[in-house]
Amino acid sequence: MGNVPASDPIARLPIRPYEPVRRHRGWEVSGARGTGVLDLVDLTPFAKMLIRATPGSAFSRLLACPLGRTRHDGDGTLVLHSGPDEWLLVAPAGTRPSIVEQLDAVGAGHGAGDEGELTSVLDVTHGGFLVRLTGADSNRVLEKLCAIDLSGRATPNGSVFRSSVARVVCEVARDDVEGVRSYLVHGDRSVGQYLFNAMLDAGSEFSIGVAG
Amino acid sequence: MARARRTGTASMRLGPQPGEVIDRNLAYSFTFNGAECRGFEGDTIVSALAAGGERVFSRSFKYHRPRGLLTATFHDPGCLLQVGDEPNVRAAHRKATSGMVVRTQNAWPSLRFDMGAANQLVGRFIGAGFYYKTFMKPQRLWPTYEKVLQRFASGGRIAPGCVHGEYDKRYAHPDVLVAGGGPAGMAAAVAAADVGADVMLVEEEHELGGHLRFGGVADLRVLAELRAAVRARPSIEVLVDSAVTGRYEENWIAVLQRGLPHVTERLVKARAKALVVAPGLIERPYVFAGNDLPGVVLSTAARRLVNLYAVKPGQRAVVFTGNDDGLEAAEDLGRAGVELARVVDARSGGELIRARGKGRVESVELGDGSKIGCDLLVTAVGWTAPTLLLNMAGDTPRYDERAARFVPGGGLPDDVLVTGGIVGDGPIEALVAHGHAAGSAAGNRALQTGEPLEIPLLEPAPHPALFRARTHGIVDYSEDVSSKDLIAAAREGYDSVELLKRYTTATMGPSQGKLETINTVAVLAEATGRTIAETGTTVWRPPYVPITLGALAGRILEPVRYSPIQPWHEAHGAKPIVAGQWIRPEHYGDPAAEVWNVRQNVGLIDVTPLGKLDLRGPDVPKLLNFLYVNKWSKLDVGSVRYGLMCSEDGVVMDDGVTGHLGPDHYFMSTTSSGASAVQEWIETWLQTTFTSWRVHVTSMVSAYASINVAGPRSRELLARLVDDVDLAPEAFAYMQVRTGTIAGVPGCHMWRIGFTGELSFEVHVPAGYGLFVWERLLSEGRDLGVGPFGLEAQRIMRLEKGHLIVGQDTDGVTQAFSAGLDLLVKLDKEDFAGKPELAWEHAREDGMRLVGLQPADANLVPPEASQIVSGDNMIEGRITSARFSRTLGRSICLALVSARLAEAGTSVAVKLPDGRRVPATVTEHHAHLDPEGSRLRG
Amino acid sequence: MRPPVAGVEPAEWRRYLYEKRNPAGWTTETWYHASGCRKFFHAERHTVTNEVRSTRRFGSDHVAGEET
Repeated sequence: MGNVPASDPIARLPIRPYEPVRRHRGWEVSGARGTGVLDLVDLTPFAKMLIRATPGSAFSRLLACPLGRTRHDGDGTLVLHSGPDEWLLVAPAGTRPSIVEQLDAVGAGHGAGDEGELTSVLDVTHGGFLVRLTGADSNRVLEKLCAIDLSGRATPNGSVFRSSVARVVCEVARDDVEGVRSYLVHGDRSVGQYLFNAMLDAGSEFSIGVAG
Repeated sequence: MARARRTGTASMRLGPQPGEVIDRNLAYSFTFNGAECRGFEGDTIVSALAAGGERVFSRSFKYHRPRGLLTATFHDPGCLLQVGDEPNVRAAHRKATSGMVVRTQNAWPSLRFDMGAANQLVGRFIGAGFYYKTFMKPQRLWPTYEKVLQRFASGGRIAPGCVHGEYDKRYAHPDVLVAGGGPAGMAAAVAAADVGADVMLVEEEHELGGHLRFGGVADLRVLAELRAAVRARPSIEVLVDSAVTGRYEENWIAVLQRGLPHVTERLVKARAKALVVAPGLIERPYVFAGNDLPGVVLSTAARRLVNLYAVKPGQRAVVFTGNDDGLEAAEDLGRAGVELARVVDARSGGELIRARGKGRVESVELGDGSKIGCDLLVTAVGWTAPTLLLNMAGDTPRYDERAARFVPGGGLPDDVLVTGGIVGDGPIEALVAHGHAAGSAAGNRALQTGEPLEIPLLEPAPHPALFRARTHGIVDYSEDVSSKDLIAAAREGYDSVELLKRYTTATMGPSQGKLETINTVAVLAEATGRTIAETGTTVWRPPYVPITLGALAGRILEPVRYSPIQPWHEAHGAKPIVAGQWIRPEHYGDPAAEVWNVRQNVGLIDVTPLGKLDLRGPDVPKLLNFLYVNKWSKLDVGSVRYGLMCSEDGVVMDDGVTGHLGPDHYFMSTTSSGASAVQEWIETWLQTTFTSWRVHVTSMVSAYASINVAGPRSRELLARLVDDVDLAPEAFAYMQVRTGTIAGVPGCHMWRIGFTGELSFEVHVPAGYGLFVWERLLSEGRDLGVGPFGLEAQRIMRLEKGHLIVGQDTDGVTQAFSAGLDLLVKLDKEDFAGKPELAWEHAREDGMRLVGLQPADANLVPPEASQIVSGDNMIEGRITSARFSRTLGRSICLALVSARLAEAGTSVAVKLPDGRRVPATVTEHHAHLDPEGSRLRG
Repeated sequence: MRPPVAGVEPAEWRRYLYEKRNPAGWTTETWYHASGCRKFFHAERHTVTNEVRSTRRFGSDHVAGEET
């Protein structure tokens, strides 16, 4: 190799991490505590898989998640059915969701299915940034940036939609944590810092904090 | 130092009133034109000043007549004052605060002694429409006219260095939005909430209540009940000091919210399932001689001053009324200790002729000839319906002769309801019952419960038609338009209400017709012998209240895109350039040195914004064959091909390289600016035309950090960090792609392509590791002379090689053959996007051609877009790209020229921006350097 | 509708490129949900009143809401 001693690869977040900076599963992340009342945290290291499959096919039945809704799988994976033929899987950093193994077993990946329909599985861990916004006022932060109705009736816990947030297209999922209102926002990695800043700005009225 | 001057020092503050909004325990002081004034928490600027005896607050727009308060509301025309840096503050609405610096506008040198008042002396020569008649000729004196007019222009001052406010926006989705927080509005909100709806209740004033607030004992009791009912329902969100500025299609409603602690104004964009319009009524002024003298006030103004602010409006009053509200005002004044010299009721024949006084009311002349001395004249001649939201919802209000006002016309869609005073009159219980029914109906409509609507009748009460007395007076206080002006204009032929408005500017001032439209229409009707109904009104337009540009702009939300390597660029002095939404390094101090280093050693450029599309499925080759002009059926795994995309009109759309990564797996690159357009283009074809093709397209622009390692030592450098891919030229030829591990990061793609013309490897690294790999390449290659290079260096190098940039060297009409890409266009393919037009272009001999161009003066770099001309300024083309090449020691260009001049060796004339013409020669190739590409393929 | 390219005349091709019908009244339009599902769909819209009376997936005959 070279003159300089080799080092283990370091993966980084789309945002400048808040102090104190620490390592987690090969990623440089923030160890900030947050306020416990309204917090924003960058979860980009989470493993993310994009599944494209035909609605009604064997693959979509395996994913078992209606359009516009999310489902917590047994092994810590969150399945989000974000578009008619698209599912996003979110799992803890460095893991591979068991659902993906099951999809491979029935012929997914690059292949065509029983009826010749195409299914593909893409690793989009690096392509998207993922943040979680948690707190009773979390919807009030988002309603400054997003025109979608965030009331409990229109977007209840366990729902997901894709729309414009601060003028960038994102998936937004309502995924409450221990009864506290919480949203996951997933978008293109390159706008991660911009969107993080926009959410902090919108949340300053409600004393938003950053957690790691 | 504040000049000692006579202010109204007589305190006009009354003892505690049952409905007062002031807190006498919280006193403060502020200044008005330099003099100190006192106020209580809850006072508006004008109420505090009036409590101190001030009666004159401004000078009118044209004639500079002294003006006092008239309505004591937001829309009071005489109460626009400058507060600190903020001009045109509605001082009868804005609350005074400690330390506020308040000044008059439009008065020079002072409010008391105003030079502009001289206008009054020449008043008869500056009637309405004088703008169109005077100061016209001689035209060359216009700069002088402007300076003169500026001196007398109204409006406050904006200091260039003033601190700007903060603004934001918010979206809301209430089931029911109630516009107006008076008794009917509050009742409607409560009823809607009780049906289960989420309600947003919007009220202009600082608290809910409408006219109940300054009413009698019974009114205050109902007020307290309704306020408590609203407070008790958490599903009602109340916005006070806020106004609904417009109702757009399908109840898309704009609400301007003021009074928030952290922003100056907020624009709320609400989509309501049902809208309840409950704006109440606005009291109308009476037109008579002297009607704009300080001391002439509307009955509601008098009641507001006494009951809300505990201010005595004067010492001795005459009240002229056409309704019972005027009588109630007289009672309130009596209670406040004002001497009631006379109460004149129009219903029993009473008539008001004129008010007289110098700078203020001193006496009033009545129809029976009597002249009464007083310092306060109160009028109560009727109401105007603020129908903006009804008009915007599609209704056409109609004029009710009996009630002498406009009423809803019955043309509302079924998701808009109307209630309260704007519908009709009645005792407070009737208004509340009507509001309640409307609110229930709105809630049921919003929640689609299917309950039938049951709204009681509410009729407007008869009212005498009182618009103008026998004398002439001011109709538009803000624009200084009198009834005489209107009649003169009508006589000049401006006899339609829309023409009259524009010619005289009546209704075009800050109150936008709320106080003057009906009187204008009435005077016009009188002048043209028509009825008010026949004359019609001008169009009500949004916004209902003024809205700052800041509120319309909100937060600056402009998406910015960064590469994962951005922190390194910033830390190392990169000059940033904005490329679409991306921030990219243009150079690191010396682009020419960067070019030299790449051509001698090895350089790194961050090209992450490059478009990258992951294509999967068995039908990808068919798709590529259709999208690109060249052939794609046979591309081995591991191979890469350059492709050109044209749109259906044959115009060059995008270019890039596409590689075959694995079975049914391709990876397409596009230009960075074309990335999203190409993805949409592909989706359009797949979804609307080739619906049976099995292809999945996913954008991977941000999934990979893309680094181009370029230069004769690039292979050597990369080999130090790559173990699992053989980089030797026999194993990894030009236009090939491999997947492997770089510096321990798996899943990286390496492409042997070359935009710069040097041996180069474009590596795509999973984005999270982008910065890590960049830094490793730099540290590993120190002894090889590795250094970063930016966009500018890349542009110079690609120009040296003659590589075109779509959108720079081509434009919106450049078809493929014009761009010199003949060899790529495979017209023997059965079909591809744009084929017919390209076939026809190929058959033609005319058009433009992209050529390399060499200026005769090797040191002259013609600015890009310099025209290429012939003969007598005939345009033959233009320079599309131009740089100085240190490598070659001369300037180099690409240009689009007429086909007949495109032959190598042809001499053309380039016209520089300063008009000089300089010669240049068409070169044989686009490439000025290494046209055979030997450096690339090594 | 894209004409078959084999033997197409310039006039017909340019009609396909540039000429669109723009009636006043009910029209079936094709829309693309760019900020959302990125799918094409048809909408029946009245070009004067802006009322929309039905939507359906591109190429489908079924009206939205009528599917199971």
